[in-house]
Amino acid sequence: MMPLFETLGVPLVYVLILQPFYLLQILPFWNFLEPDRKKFIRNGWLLLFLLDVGLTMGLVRSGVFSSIPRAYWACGYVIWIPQFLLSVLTTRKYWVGHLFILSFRILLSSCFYTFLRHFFLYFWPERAFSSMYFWQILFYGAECLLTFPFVLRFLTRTFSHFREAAARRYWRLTALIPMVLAGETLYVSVYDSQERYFDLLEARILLLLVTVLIMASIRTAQQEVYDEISAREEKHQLEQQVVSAANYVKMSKESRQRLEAIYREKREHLDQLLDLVRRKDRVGVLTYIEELGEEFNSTKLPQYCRNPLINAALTVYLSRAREEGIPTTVSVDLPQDMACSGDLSIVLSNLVENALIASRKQPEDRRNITVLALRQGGVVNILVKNLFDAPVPMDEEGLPVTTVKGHGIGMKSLARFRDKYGASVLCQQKDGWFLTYLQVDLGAKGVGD
Amino acid sequence: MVHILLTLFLFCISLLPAAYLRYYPFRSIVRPSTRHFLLCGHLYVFLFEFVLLAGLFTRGLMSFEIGTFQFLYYFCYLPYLLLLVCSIRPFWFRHLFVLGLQAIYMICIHTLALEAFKLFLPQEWEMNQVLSYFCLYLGLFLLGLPLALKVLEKLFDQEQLRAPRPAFWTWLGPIPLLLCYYHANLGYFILDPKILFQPFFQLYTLVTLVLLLTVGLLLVRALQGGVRQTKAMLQMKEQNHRIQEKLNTLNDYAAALRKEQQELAILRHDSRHQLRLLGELTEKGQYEEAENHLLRLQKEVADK
Repeated sequence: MMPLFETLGVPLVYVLILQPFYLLQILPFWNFLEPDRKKFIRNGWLLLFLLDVGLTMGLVRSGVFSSIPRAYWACGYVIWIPQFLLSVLTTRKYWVGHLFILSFRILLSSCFYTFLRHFFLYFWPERAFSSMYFWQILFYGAECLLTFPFVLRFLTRTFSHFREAAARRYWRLTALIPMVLAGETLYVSVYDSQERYFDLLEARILLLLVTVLIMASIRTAQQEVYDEISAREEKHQLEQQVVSAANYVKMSKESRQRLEAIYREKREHLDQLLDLVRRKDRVGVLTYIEELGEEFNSTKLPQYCRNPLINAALTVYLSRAREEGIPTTVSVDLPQDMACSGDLSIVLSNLVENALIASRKQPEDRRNITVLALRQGGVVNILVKNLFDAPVPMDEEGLPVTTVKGHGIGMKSLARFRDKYGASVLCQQKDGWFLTYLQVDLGAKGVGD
Repeated sequence: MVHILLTLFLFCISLLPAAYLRYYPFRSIVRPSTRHFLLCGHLYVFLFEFVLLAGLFTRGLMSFEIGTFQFLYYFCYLPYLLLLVCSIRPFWFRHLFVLGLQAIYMICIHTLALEAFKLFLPQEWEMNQVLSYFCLYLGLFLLGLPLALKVLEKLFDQEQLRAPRPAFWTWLGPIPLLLCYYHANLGYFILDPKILFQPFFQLYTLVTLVLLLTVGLLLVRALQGGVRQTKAMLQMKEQNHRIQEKLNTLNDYAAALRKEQQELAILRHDSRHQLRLLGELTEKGQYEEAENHLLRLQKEVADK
């Protein structure tokens, strides 16, 4: 090997080859990061990469270690730490997730090293194992690169709904198993990576199999968590529909009773009016007619829009808001038949319910709920806003989060609607108002399916 | 000869508590006839293995040493397992899981027994006198048995065993057994005794043992959590089904009311029309026409 390549090239290749597995530490969280943070991590990573190369070069050439391969082996135990710390510090709330990823990295790296060792000893038994260190680095890199897409896919999926999954005992405990195994593997590696005592090949093949099974079982567990979340959301939606339907039934009955009361007293009303007419009491007659008109008005069911599903959804919580004396402004102009009426009615129902709950926490003179919905061409624009003074924390997707158990399903339903119909959702807090703006293109793919 | 037979007897006996552990989690769904069949089956297997091994050892076809017994442990449990799996079915993955847990327990007891054997009876260890080892192993196994039974007793209940198998079993089932094979493949038991007596190896043994046990317990707890989660999900789906039925009934009723509301709207519209007419007549000072109109309405009400 040329001296220049051995001094500069090999450490560079070595550090470069380790990067895919280091990147596993941050890539699963990449979509959750803000642009500024992404930029910071990119720059930091580049800097650490250069430092790693420098450190490896220095350690390999320093003569601290008995041989060059031993120096590389020792570097492997150290140079991952800065990138790991950078990842943990920039996504602090996922620290458990980082330990989880690190466990898989340790398990896989240990298996790969054992495979590498046996491969070289089997095919080149007459050559000194340490003399082939550059090819071993390349072999190890190839193993990492081959598994990288699968592991990244698994981890990205795992962390896409980490918050929900981590709350489940099965998932939590299954996720602990790789950590324990990684501890044990690391312990064996530190003691016996050169296999002075044990023959690790068969054991590591079995360990790889166990790792894959654990990954599959975590994946299945997560699928079951999603199913559970879907069932919970479905329950919530069904309950809302029941509330809407029950509310409609109640209001219809009340309306009928009021109308029946008016007709029961029809004879009296006619007598009263006749008396006023005979007395030529113009003001009296008109006032009486106006009062009767008011009574007729009170028998009418609220009509916010022509779409029956959306109308029913709005009626429930807006009626409650009115009963509680919360000022409401509603202007909804949506067509009678709309492709996504069912889902949209649930989303609207959730948004208005959230607005109602939030308004209850406000002082009485600082309450207001406004619902505006309009169809312009093929696009439906919806704005639901309410006065709210306390700060509202938002998640990575820009949707409000809640720490209250049992709450927050509404926002998940909104996220699901957004994903299903490719809608745009914007939640923001501005000038004492909390606003949710929703835009759906009715001509887009998915709408009407 | 007596020494060989006694050792062999203890070896064969040492397989029975493990067989009971494998049966224990399924006991709730086993009928008396199956239980009887299993009891007899285990007895026959025990006698068969004892006679066969006695023949092999006494004729010198197998060497009488610790390594041979370690090798036999890999195979002698299989007839018992097959008997159990074929009698209580179809729970392949669950049998595999329980087998793995039992194996973890067995490895722990073996390791502890081996350590105690090395520590307290070093001469017998060096001379391959395994009789006292089996006594020690059986004693420790039975001592820890109540704890092992406690871990396994709530693993499944009748309802879980009869319900559809949750998806995670396919992946979780083989893990404990594979972990045991992983440990066994490290070759700890066939290491040079000189290395085994090194303090760092004693520490290693202790640490890996604790970790293996931890994984076993985590798996049991994870499983219980998983089963609870599946149960909760099924309950929620049932609830959803009930709510859906309630919703359908309500929707039917609401549809009838909606029709009624349309009729009421017509009635309201007519009444408003009458009132508007009366208002206009009053506004214009046409009281006579207004009176006539009201009298007509009164007559209509009276006629109804």
